[in-house]
Amino acid sequence: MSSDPAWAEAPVGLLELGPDGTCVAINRTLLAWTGRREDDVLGRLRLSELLAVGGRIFWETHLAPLLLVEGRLDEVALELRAPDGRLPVLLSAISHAGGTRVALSNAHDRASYERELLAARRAAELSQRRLQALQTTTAALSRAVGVEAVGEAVLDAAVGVLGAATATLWLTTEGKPRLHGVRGARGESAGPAPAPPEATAVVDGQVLVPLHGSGSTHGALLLLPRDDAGADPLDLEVLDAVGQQAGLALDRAHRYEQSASVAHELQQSLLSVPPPPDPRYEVATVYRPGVQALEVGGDWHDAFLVEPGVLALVVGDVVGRGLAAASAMGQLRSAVRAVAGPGVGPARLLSRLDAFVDQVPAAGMATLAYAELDLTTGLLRYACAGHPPPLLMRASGEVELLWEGRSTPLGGFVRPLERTAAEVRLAPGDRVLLCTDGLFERRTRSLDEGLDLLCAAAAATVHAPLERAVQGLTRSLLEDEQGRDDVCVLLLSWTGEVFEWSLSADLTALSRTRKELRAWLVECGAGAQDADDLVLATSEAIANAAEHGGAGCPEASVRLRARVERPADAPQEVVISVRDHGRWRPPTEALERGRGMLIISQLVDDLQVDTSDGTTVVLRSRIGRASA
Amino acid sequence: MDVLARNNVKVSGPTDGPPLVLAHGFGCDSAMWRHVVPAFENSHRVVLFDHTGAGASDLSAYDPVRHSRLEGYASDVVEILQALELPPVRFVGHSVSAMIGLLAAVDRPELFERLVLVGPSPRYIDDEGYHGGFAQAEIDELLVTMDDNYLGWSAHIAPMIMGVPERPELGEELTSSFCRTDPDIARRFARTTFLSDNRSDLPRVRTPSLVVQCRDDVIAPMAVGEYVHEHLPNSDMVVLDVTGHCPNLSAPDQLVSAVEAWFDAA
Repeated sequence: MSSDPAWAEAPVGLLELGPDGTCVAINRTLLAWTGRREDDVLGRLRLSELLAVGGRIFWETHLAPLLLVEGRLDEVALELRAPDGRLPVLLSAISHAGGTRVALSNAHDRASYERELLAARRAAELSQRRLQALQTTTAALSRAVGVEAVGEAVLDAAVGVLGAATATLWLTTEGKPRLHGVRGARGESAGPAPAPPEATAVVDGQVLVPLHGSGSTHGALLLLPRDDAGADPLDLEVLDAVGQQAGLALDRAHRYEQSASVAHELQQSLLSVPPPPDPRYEVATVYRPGVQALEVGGDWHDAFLVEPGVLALVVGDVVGRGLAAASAMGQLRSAVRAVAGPGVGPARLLSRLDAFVDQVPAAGMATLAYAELDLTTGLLRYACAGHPPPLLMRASGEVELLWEGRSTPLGGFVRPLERTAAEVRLAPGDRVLLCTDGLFERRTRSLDEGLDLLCAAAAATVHAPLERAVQGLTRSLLEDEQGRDDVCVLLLSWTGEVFEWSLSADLTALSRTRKELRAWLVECGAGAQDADDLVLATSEAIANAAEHGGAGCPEASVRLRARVERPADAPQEVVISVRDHGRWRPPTEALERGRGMLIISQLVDDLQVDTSDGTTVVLRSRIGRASA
Repeated sequence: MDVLARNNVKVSGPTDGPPLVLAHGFGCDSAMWRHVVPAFENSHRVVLFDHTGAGASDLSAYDPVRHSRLEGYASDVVEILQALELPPVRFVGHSVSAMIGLLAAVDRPELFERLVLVGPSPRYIDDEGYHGGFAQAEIDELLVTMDDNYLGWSAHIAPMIMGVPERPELGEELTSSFCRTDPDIARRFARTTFLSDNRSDLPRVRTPSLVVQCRDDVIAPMAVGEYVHEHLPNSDMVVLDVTGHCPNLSAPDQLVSAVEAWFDAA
């Protein structure tokens, strides 16, 4: 075979491999290309040993298995080890029973052409990858609202699409670098803040990217490259472009925060007007801005006196966010206060607001829960314009959504000719909750499920002090929420009518006080005997206080306060406290005072004396009527 | 995500047989085991799979970050074993899969009964006091060679990626897709394989292991196999009289007898 010119002088390299892969025949063309002698090759070398090293690995890991499985190889580009370097060849091979036949053709020109093509293709792919990384980052930066959010977006992109192992970001605040955060696989603590360079630079194997804004430098981003075996190196050009984009994003964020703080102040000033103090009720509120805290929302709460003895409660929600929504909210809130008044009532108030909203388009489709509470009788009249229903929390622990008095949002295209209202009577100790839908509404569950959760959370806080109740309820309901929406909650507690009287120590007004107290007790539902006993006990306490607590000081006063309580599952109880500013006396005088106490304790169910600040005597008695 | 679909997992053999996982190495796919599977299929529950990015795996599941480390491939293996809910397995890893299986066994030893490491290398590049067989420049040259065969890599994979069902030749393409995959993934897998250094993981292995060394293997030379055996706490070593790096294809009978003998000796 070796002497046949068709074999020996063929214009391609020809090779025969034995069953174990060693060369058993080689033509002269291939010997010339590789610069070897036939004796050194035959029975000694295997094909992979004729190849340059990259091809040798490729042969062992890829081509040899391919040949074993498929029995042939076609057009594989490899390089031969040649005396003066390397010779690109195209290899084809076919297996047969006794071994493998291999043909190699010279591919020098073709190889350089293909490499050019490949280089162009790689450049195109690289530029596409760069563009994509830059676009992804820019999109994330433009979505971020506020400086903190831009910082987070920069860090996310750095260890995400930009491929850093660790990223550390410093942002400049009032001329000084402040560590914003460290992100990445290795939780290394940050070193001292580096000075932002003019352009992206490599410092000690890390990449330092300046964040230049249009006027000033906003900070610096320090990136540690990943050292995983297959990791891509950091791309300085892309990082430099990202640094510029981040600088511009921070310009915008600073401008935005300045204007947002104006909106915030506006909203806070509107929300922080407390209702007038009155012993008959307490109001506690929560306003929780959305997490994108820079976006002020249109939620508000309000409580004010419509007329003496009538308290208005409002929670509303203007559609939209930002300064426009906040200012519409402010107008609507003022309109509610202006429209409300004696004889108007919830239904007519809503109708008048419809007319108002027609003039203020930004307030259109606002929703509102409005209630008026008669502080004397506990009668609550309420109406809801497209708003979640008020929640009634009885002192006994029952909770109930008030589903009546409902109509559509304010100023809608389809609006009722007459708005409706409803009423419910509160008992002393009852509470009413108004809130915006952000408290319980989630995309992941139905409205009914949300309201069920609201009722359950409210029931769990019925006996907690008011402020703690509203905070706890809000916290428990917002636990699962990402804080996107702002939330307004108003919780009212009506303690009922309270009897308050102040007497000077000379007791000139005692007789009138007794008469007034008796009348109040009867009004609260006490029978004649209960009322007489309580008045007598109270008189004793007042006399004691005036005599001993007044400490001989005629201008000293005694304060009398009485209220009705309805503990859960028990008859109502009158609680009367008598307070003076004296102290318990030495034994002889205390004995006198003690005699009065004995009389009192026989007249009432319970007697407590508190001497922590002056002396307060607290009397408690049931007044017959069972709780409803 | 369906892990079994992601890695094209195929299970055969008796359900009550001891589970045997066959993991292919760099450059090819599970078809590498075609001559080995029949020998075990009667006695073992045989599990075959393609690494993410190879063979008929779901290429969209390939993650350049996760798979830039062998630990990422090891996590894939752990996920496969968990999805199959098998008793501790006998894991046969060829080439780079020897290291992948070893990392998985360090991480989750309770999933592995035994490890068979066929042509293992904890580091391919020479280092001070260590002979891996290659210089960094030679690995770079491999990447160039792979680039030169860009068309060869990509030509057959294209219809699979595009998934054009009305093309009649698709079935044919699939049968000849052995050892072909997305060229970019292949290139990254090459870097992850040949640039990793897992020498420090060897002493952490507690699973009984067998090092299967081919007598003449330029990819994983004898000295490397001996190094692995020496540093694996609980290991045996067997040398096959085979040339090349793929005894599972070129000498399946020798490989099968060596593995069976080791299993039986336990």
